[in-house]
Amino acid sequence: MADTHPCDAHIRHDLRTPLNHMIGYTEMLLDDLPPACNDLLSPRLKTLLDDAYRMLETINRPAPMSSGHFDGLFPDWRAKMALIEADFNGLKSTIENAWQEACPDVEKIGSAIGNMRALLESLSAKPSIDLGDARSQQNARETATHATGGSGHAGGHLLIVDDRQENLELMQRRLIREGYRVTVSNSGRDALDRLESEQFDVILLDWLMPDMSGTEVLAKIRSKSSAHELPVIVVTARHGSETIVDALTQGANDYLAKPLDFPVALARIATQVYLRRVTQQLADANRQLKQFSYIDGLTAIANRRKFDEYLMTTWRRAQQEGAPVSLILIDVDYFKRYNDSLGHEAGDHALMRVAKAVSSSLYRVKDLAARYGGEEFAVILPETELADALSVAERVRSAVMSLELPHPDSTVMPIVTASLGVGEWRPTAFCEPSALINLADKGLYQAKASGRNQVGTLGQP
Amino acid sequence: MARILLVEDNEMNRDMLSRRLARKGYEVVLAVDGDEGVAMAKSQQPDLILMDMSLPVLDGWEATRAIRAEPATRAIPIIALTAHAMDGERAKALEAGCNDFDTKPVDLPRLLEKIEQQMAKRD
Repeated sequence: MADTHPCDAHIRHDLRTPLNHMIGYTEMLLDDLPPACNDLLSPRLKTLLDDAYRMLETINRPAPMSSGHFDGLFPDWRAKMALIEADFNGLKSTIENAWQEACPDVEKIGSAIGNMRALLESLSAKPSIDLGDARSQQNARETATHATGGSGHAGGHLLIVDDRQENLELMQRRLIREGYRVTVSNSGRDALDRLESEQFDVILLDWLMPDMSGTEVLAKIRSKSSAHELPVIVVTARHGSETIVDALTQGANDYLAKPLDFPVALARIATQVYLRRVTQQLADANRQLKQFSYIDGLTAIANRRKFDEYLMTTWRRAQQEGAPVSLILIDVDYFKRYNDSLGHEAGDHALMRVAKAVSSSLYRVKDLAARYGGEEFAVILPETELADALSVAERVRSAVMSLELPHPDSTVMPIVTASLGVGEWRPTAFCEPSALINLADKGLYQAKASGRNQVGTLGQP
Repeated sequence: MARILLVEDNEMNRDMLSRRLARKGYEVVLAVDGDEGVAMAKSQQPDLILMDMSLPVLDGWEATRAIRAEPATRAIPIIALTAHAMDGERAKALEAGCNDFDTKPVDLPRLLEKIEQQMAKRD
């Protein structure tokens, strides 16, 4: 079955709920039927079930149009409902005598039927279950749905600014029927006041108003909120392209010509509401993605990308200020052997612990610990001279040792240790950060060559 | 005996489905909203969760995401139940982290098959 329309889908859903209860309890009674009552009750229960399934067919049948009078959309509901009620009453009196334990469930079926009747009557009492002038509204909705990428209009809070009372009332009524929350304002000043205290998704702004013109109001709005944050649709009686261009260049997101073609207005409002929502979601997602893209998946400290970017910013700032930059490179000793002897899961675990030890050895906000490569870590220390960097490195070395992670295959010690290389550089105008990396790398080589689990440096360049 | 957590706000639906599942030999534990569903998933460690999607407090999609985010409940299979047969409902449920999807009214044999499929995958 195809639910053609969000509103339609909700009505069908509401109708299916009591039917669902009716069917479920009836089926349960059939399952539980004591053999003694089988002949008497089984046909009645099955008949009721049949009635319910026929009603379900009616509800699920796609209507030729999604709007109009309810009785026109579901022409046979009264007959089917009456049949359900008659069959249920017959069942109820029979079951009360024959199978008393079933009575609570029969009551539930009865109340489901009652709910369904009430719901159907209330739908039937409405002049239309969708909207009055079905065709044009339907077209508008389709246009709006198309414009919003198929999600239908999503509602939202609109502010309509117009000095003419009759324009306001008409727009307000029609937009409310479309599911929007609508606030009206009869002057630019009043609109700006409302903007101070309330949140809106879209503003419809009349361009020609006596006290404060649309131009002035728009300028005030744009001085606080961008077109992405608060879309403004300008409404103007002047058809000349000059007015339209004026409005758009001054920060309007779109325009509408008076007299309003309501379906067009609806489609354009829906588009702005949708765009604003999507833009906001995108901005949120981007912020989050950016955060994630800087974090190493395993160790949850900064990754290589963040390291490269941070080193570059630190470097540039140091170039301007003539400040030193220090770098520590950290390599876990015999990590391949660790993996080989204890397995990769233990290896991952060790890397997480080492990363934690490295990052918790840093005391300043501006210092950055990053995973540099497989079992290599790095620490960027802005505005730090070699002597201080060496003491940080020593702190890191002893923090790793204090983890006391058993490393049976290490020839250094029976626990996990690290070798560290330290370099310091005062970057001049034409020198690149790779110079510092090379320097620290040479220190690391020296630390390894002298037996590991130590800090190596070539001193200052 | 396999334990199923049924998260459903509608009293009749809850009563009906839990009794029918109990009759098929499942142990059924109940939660009445998404928040309770997330808490019960953790405390009861069910073998499978049947999640109504339109729930109060925390809806089914959010509850599913919360269950998937929690290491203790991450691996529990979740079957989404929705009354809407619209296209996209299925994708939306799977995207939230559900393993399978079924529509209401529940067709019991079909739902049981899906439950068994999920249980088999887990064993």
